[in-house]
Amino acid sequence: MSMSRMTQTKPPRRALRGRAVTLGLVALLSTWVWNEGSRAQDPAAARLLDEARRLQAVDEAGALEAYDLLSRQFPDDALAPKAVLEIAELSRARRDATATERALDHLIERYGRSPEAAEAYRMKSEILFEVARNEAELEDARATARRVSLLFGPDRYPILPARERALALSGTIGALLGDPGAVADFSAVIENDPLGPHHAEARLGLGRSLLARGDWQAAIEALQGLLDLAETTDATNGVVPAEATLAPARALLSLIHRRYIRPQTGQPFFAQAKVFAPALGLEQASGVAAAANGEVVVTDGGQPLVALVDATGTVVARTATRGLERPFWGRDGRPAALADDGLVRPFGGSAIRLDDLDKDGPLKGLLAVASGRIGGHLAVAKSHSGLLRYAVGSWPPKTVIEAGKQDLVDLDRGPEGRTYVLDKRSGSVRRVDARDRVVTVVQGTWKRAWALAIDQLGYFFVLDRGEARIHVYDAAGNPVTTVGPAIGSITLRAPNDITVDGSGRLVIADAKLPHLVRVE
Amino acid sequence: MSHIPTTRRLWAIGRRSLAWAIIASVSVAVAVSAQVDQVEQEDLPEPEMSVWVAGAPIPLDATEAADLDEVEAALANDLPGLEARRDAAVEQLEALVEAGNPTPEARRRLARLLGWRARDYMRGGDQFAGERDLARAVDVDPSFQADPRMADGRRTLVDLVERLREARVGTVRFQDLDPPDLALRIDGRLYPITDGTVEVTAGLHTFSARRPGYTPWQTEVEVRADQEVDIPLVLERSSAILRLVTRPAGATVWVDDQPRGSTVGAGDAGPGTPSAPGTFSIPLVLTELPMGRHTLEVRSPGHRSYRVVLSIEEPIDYEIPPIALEPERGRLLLGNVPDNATVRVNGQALEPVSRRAGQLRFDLVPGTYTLLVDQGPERMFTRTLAMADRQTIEVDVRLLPGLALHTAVGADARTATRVAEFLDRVFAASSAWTAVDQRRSTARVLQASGLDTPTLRGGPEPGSTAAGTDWSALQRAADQHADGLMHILPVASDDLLAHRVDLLVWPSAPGPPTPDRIAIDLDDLDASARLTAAFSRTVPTRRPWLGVQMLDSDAALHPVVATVTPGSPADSAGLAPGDEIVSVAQVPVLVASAIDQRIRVAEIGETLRLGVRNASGNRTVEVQLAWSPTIVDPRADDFRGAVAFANLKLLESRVPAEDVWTVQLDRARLLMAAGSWVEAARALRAIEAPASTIGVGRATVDYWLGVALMAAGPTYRESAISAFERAASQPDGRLRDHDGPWIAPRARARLSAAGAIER
Repeated sequence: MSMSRMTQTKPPRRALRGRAVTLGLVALLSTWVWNEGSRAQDPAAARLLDEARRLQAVDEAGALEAYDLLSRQFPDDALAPKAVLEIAELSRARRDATATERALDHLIERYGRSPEAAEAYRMKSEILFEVARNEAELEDARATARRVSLLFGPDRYPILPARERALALSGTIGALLGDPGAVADFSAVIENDPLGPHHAEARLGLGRSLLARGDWQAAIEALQGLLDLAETTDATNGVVPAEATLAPARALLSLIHRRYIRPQTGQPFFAQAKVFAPALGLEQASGVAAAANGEVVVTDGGQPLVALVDATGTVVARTATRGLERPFWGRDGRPAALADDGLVRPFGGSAIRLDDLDKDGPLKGLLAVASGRIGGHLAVAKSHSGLLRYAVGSWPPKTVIEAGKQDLVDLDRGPEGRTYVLDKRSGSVRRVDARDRVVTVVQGTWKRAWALAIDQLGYFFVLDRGEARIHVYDAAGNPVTTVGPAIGSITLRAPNDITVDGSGRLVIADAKLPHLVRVE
Repeated sequence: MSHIPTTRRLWAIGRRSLAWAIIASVSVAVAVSAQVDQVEQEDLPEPEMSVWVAGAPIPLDATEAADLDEVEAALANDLPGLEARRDAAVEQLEALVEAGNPTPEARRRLARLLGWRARDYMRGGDQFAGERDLARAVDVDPSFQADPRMADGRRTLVDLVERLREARVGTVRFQDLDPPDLALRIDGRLYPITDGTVEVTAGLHTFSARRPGYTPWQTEVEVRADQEVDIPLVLERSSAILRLVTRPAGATVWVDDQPRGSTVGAGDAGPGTPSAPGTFSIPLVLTELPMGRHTLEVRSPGHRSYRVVLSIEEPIDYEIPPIALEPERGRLLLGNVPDNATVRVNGQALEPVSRRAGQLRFDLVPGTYTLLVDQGPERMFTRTLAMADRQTIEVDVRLLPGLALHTAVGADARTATRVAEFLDRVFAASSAWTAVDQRRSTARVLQASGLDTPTLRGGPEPGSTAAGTDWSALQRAADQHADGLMHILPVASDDLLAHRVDLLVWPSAPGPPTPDRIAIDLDDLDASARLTAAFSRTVPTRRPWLGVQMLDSDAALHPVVATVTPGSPADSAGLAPGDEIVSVAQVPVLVASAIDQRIRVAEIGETLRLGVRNASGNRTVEVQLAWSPTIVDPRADDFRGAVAFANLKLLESRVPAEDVWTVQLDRARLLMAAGSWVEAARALRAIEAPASTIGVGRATVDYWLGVALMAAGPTYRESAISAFERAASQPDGRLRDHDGPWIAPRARARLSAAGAIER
């Protein structure tokens, strides 16, 4: 379900939340109704289910009708809850929130002790998570997810994919909320069902959560275990982890290697600098942003150019758009960039509009934007020198750091939902945690601080344009090293923006270099 | 006419005949000799001759006779209020007489009862009725004499009887009675001959006599009241007869390969009813035996045949010494049976005939037997035997862990048979398990435990396997009625045309009651091998240990050492964080999993050459692998809960003492995997793990104890928190093995999730 669609489904979402409170009660009451031991299986019901599944590929409405018929004609049949679950899933795929909710409620109320009811709870929690706008709503989604474990324990269902999936979701939400208990959720998934389909996802979540807690050795075990799993499993002996989990795991391990292990051997923090993506032919690089997988989006102020470069430096896409700068990656995995009058999605994606606090129209003079932890966006702009948080479906945006006393020029998102902002006036980097507590993590003596980048271990990088140098600090704010202006054979002349990819490589956009510089 | 009693004479003849005229094979002769000895020792009772006659009257039932005795005694003692019982007894005996074939005893009893009733009538003044009863008494039993007590001090009734006898009874005197044991019938009714005379009512009577080996005799004689008639009665010998008795009764007697009859018992209820065990039948008389040599054979099911050749030389009575048939027997020799093992045959405990140096001997009658030798469920042996007479079967007993095979659920007869045959075949070839067929003993029990076939079949979702069945109750029921370390319940697919069967396998208590589900396809050629493999899993307790944590990094071509465990082989060999492992045993490695796999297949103590690279350059490191305890992960290792649990139970007594705790922890983990939280916690609490602070050990046990207690319910929350706190306090504690996942962060997270530490 896309973000835009989620906005449209707000009213049903409220209904979901309301009902979520009573889900536990409903489930308990329905235990006496549902007794698997007495279920019969009617051949007609089996044929109907078969027909519905056949129709599903060619005629969704027909399939829905068949599932509905089955559930109404054979409400006590073993296949009835399966049919209702199919209705819910199909309705969800068709983005019919009302039908989805109705089917899920029916499943929980009528067949509350069936494995399909566990799936219903799990789906409800996913929907609640997708539309959550604040911490309370995230907690709500997490509580629903946890209900699966409470109601469908291993004593009754030794293996239940819905339970592990719900636990993984609970861990994901917990991590977003900065809850150390997320580690417990992910651990439970791994411990309960190490061969299950959510094992990889849980391992990645566990690794991230452990890293966020500073348990990097334990994180290595979790993440490397995921890579080992990919090397040693195949379709015959287990679930092969998807690349979507392997790539971030590999990146995080590389990051740990670079930040924690390599320095122990006496090697420099950065070993080398490379010309990166020379084929770009940049005239006046104005911004750069790296995704976790090493993909980079770059903007050029000297020519109409926005380009996507993969981790090997190959240009994979470019568009001729002029005047963009300071790109960032949206939650949908597509880049966005700042324009004079708002935000642009040069490679597609739903439009993002950040309105001005005080007057009608978009917020102008944007300096930096980042995706929010729970949807929405964070922004700093010339017209409003504070830090603003735009939440989905809510107005006005929250001023996290008051305007007026500082001159914020850049921001970035760090691990565990923390936001870092660079204050040029005070020469400091300030960290905003998940509960909007603001802490100054470093006070620098920079000539002209201009850009900020954070890696997934909380190391942060400050670009000082005045000295054409990047200052590196660890998560506690201790200076680690500086980079530039000369880095090996490359000399920085007018660095404009910096970014750090998922594996800890620093990428520099220099207005006077025709290429990017990648330092690792 | 001889005065020697008939039977004695016959016995004497029989004795004489033992000198014989009988030709027997050597083996039979031995048998006969032995039987004769036995018979003499047992003091064989003389047989009753009356049973020779066909149509012999049925004697009074013992209970009836006792009842009649009581009535008579009461009448003789003049007890009041007996009219109803008296009349009922008269009526009963009259019916017997009217039926046509009463015993002499019945006639005598009826006459006496009529006499007592006549006395009562006459006392009451009903002279007519009294005289009528007395007349009837004399008719029924012409030898009837009034009891003096009937006279009641006056002679009237006695005299009346005398007068009636004079008027209605005559005497027949048989002259030259021969043979004296002949059976006499008058008008078809059996009459005993006393002193060669009988008293009969006046009139025309038919006298007949017969005796086996003689020509039947018959004549009609007019007998007049109060007169004596002399009748010569000498039967003409027609053939030889042969009398024999057998033990047991019921044996069939064949002469010259033709069946000639069967012996019958003489139980408490009279001739023809089963004999008490160990007693002989009543005599069987074979008649019409022609002169010459004959083959006599006596057969009885379950007994060896008795066969002799006899020679009939003259038409006399022959009597064969009592024939005690020897039961058929086979010999079962069981080798290697421990002293305290129990031997059961067809479910019944059996004591050996002899026991010598671990070899037990049993004598069994021919038949099919299921043999079960056991020393508890962990050491069992079973075999099905077909024993024949005189066969010796030697069985080398090998006690193995037992599997209880239960009857297939939801299967048609054909599939059920196929399943049973399949399992028999697979486990008969197993050297790890003994499959004990419990289908008969538990079918009804399992049925009564409320098993629901559709539920047992489960759905496509793995999680639905256990729903709707009370596995604990099933485990209890199965344990109660069947021995075995594990139970196997086949559940047929609902597609009865196919041959897909799920084997539900669960251990006996205290193992987790939730079963494993092993799917087999009877049509699959590899099904046997797969099932054998499923039951042949071994449980490792140790694994080779290097002591490093590796990672794969984009910043290195080869796996990178991330951490080195202090005191580990890697530490001793000088490996350090940041080292890249270029090769293992001269094989280049690019990913960390390749190193782990190489170590897993290495021998403990093996020296590996590692190619190592770091900022200082390349070097070769030799590292001797040590060992680490290893804890199974029930699901990750695809370790079947039931099979694993059973294996672990066996393993505990076999592993070195320092490994016992790992086996116990494995077992607790299996209980956890089955959701048996309290049982798991109990098992975990009992584990005495090493207190080492690095790697697996006490912290491992504490962590799992915390997990089990937390899952067991709110009651155990505080205990769970304590366990997690202990686990969290060991920063180098690991799960699974010394290089496994760190425990402390997980324990801290569990504490956080439990609200025991601040978020």
